[in-house]
Amino acid sequence: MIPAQGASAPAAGWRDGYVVDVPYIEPITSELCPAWFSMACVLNGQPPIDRSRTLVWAELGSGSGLSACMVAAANDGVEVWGCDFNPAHVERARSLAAKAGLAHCTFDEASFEDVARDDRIGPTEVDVVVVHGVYSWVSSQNQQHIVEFIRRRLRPGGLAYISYEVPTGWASMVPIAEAMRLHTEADPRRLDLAFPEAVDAIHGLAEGGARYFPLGPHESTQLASLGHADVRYAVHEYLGSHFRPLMFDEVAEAMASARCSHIGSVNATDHLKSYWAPPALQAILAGTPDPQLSQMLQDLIVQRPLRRDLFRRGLAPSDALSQEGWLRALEVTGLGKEVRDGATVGVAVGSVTLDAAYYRPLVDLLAGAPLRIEDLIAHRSELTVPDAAATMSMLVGGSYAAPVAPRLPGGSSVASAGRLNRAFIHENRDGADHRSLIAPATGSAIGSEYVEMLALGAFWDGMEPDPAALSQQVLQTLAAQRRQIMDDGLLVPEPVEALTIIERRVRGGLERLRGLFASLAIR
Amino acid sequence: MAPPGSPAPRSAAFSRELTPTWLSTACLLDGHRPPDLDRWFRYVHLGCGAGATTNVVAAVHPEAEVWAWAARPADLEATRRLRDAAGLANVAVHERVGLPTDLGGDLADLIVVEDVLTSASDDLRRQVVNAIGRNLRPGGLACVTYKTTVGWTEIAPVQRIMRHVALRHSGDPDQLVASVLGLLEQLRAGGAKHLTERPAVGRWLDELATTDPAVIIADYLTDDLRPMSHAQVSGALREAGCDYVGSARLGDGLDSSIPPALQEVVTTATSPALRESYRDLAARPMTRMDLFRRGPSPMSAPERNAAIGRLRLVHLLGSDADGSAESVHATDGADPPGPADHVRALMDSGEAHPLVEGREPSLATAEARRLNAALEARHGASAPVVAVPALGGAVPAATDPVVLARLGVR
Repeated sequence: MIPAQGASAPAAGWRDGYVVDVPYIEPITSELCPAWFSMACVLNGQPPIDRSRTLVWAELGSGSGLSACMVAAANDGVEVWGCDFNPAHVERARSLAAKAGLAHCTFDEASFEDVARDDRIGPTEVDVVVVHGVYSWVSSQNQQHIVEFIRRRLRPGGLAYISYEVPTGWASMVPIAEAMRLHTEADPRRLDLAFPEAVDAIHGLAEGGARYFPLGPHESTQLASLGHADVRYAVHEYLGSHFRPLMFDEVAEAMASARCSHIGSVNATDHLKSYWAPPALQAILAGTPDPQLSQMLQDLIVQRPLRRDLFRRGLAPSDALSQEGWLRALEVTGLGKEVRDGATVGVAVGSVTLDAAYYRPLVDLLAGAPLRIEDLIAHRSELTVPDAAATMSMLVGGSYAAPVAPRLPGGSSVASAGRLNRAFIHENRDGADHRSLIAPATGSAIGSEYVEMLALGAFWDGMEPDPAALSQQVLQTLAAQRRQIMDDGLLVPEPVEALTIIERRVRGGLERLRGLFASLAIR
Repeated sequence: MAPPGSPAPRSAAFSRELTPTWLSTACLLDGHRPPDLDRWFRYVHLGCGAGATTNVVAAVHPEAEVWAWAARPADLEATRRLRDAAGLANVAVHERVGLPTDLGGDLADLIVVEDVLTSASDDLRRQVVNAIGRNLRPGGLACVTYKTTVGWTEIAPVQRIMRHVALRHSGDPDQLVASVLGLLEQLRAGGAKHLTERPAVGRWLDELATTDPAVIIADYLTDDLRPMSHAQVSGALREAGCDYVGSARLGDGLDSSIPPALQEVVTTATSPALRESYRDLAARPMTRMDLFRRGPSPMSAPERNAAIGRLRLVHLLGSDADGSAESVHATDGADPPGPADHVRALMDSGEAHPLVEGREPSLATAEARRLNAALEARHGASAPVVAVPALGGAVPAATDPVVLARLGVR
């Protein structure tokens, strides 16, 4: 049988062309949460997720389960289910859910074909399907299975999120990835051990004048970074047999077969049309009535490498009045980040520099309480509702704010998030590398520095909030792990200097605990 | 759904690399026993284009059976018309929809798949590979030509947008190509990054501006463009019981095809698939012509050199070009690349072409005469090739008349 484009030699055994001998890294993607998806719906003219009843959240290809556990821990009224065909991932995900006592979070070891065909696996009807970092790495048959799952299980009005790599930013990496895979296949060592030599060989070809080079701009950056990339990420990214970037119309047509329509992107600023293209090309997009073509042209114009598309099973009726109502109900909370002079925010066409004089007062307001559209208008009376929504998008896009998650009476998210945070910290003491804390206020996660997490863990375990004592405790933990502090990108081997740096970070952590973390219900 | 406008046949050109004589010689030069073409043989051409290669093969091998198929009706019609015009009784054109599992008859000695897979659906790709696995005789050769990933991966997204626009074009069909190219030029002029920051895409757009609109419709607006890699194709053919032998484009086997600094890394690659992958990154070919054999049959170096020594080459270009044939001066010893690369270079440059074993240079046949007349009638004075029975192929019509006369044509 000839493989589909992007695949090559048939995969051995149960691997089905995927990397399974090296566990994937354990990232948390904070945008993969109900509040963020709700906001994306509203910014793109559709109603928010209905939170009046229990939300069934499914993640296909849930990996180590961190994002799924985040949703389960930080949100009230959510049932979370994840599946992955790699038993090591499922074991890890179950273990984490058990450590945090997440009763409404389950994982099944199942392939996409299994869940597409067998309705007994997983929930019978779901409100949200998440397919993150999976779709452009699996075979076309498995893509069909994913779509079939969505067709059979997604509730009318439900959401499907799919992220995938796009040829406009990844095309020239395809032959490189294949060459690296062939190189590692001919090497008897484990993939992560063989991978560096495969990368060296590619660099050798480039330096020797191979005519395939230079790669596209984004791909060149990726290739340059491979030498120091986390190899657990890199082998999954590049060495699977089915890696194939996809154009938007391919995905949109597949989703249409599951009766799902494209709403927009989950990137907070992607709905802002003025940033879809440079001025010289905006007239072309404005004159393109075909929405699929419009999306593909945008990708071509900006060389987009990755899409994060949200689809809805059936578009809701939507008029200007109801859209304004949905926008007015949006609420964002601050994330403790200051607006610095020259700060930029990523938008479709690249990035834009924020007007600090405009945004700094808004961020100051966020430090006090969450903001709604009417709060922004009250502060800047010249703003219309759409203007205020655009401002809110820029605040979220720049990580100054995040959408607020509803908390239900009698909800347990604060306690369950606390248990998951403690589980992260305990795992960090055992050598893990978590860099996030779960925040019930947003139903997602916020970044936390490693030392800060260790200090908070010690405090939560009963130590007094004394920076000196906590710093000594952190230093001992780091020493037991044979870790050293880095500051400004440099290792700090000298203990006295290291302790000074640790204490500075511990003080900062305690301050955040009393301020920002309290507002995010992290405790 | 097809775009408005009339797609031309996919390829009107004759491909010398796809003739039995050439493929057999390529197999030998790569060190494998070539198929026995002295007897009756069956040649299958999938993706026959306008039929030039198919009908040349039939005309110069009237003892063989030729069977042709293409996905596009325009190709089938053109092939059939040329066959009928030349009165070739040994060509069957499969004009029904779909690819029959038995490829129309007995086992095939040679199966050529010309640019079919590049635009084929996954299903058709499987059908083609399964057909090769079921119908190629042990010891037979399969040659698969396709657009490469290294050549086309950055262009494919642009082509997909072109085709998307074409399929939804509701204006004047004659304006389709101008409309599509106009959009691309607007995007490029406005700074669309994928079109301005990738040199290969830019070169291709420049070429499009001077390409015949009918060719643009045929090549870019009608079907998907799904380039493939050698690893994909050879992996699939291996499943069909065929092993990679080498390239039918003989220049690909010469060291000069890749930058000198990379020759060692290519030749020392730890697997054949990796070697070809590195070779493609080094040379960035737009297409490949991969030759496979059903069942490997490697020859020892002395055996191969002896067989090469029995080849008789006709000089077609240069000071030696008088249409006479001479044997290759093969060394006897253990220096296999020597005579093989010498022949490769001569054939690749068009300076020389092997004679069909047992034939004399002056051999003329009625079938070839009729085909040459039909080609002239089709193309007028600009007929691209003339069929030459002695060579088992065709040569450019502009070849020196003295040479053509010695070869029994004109």
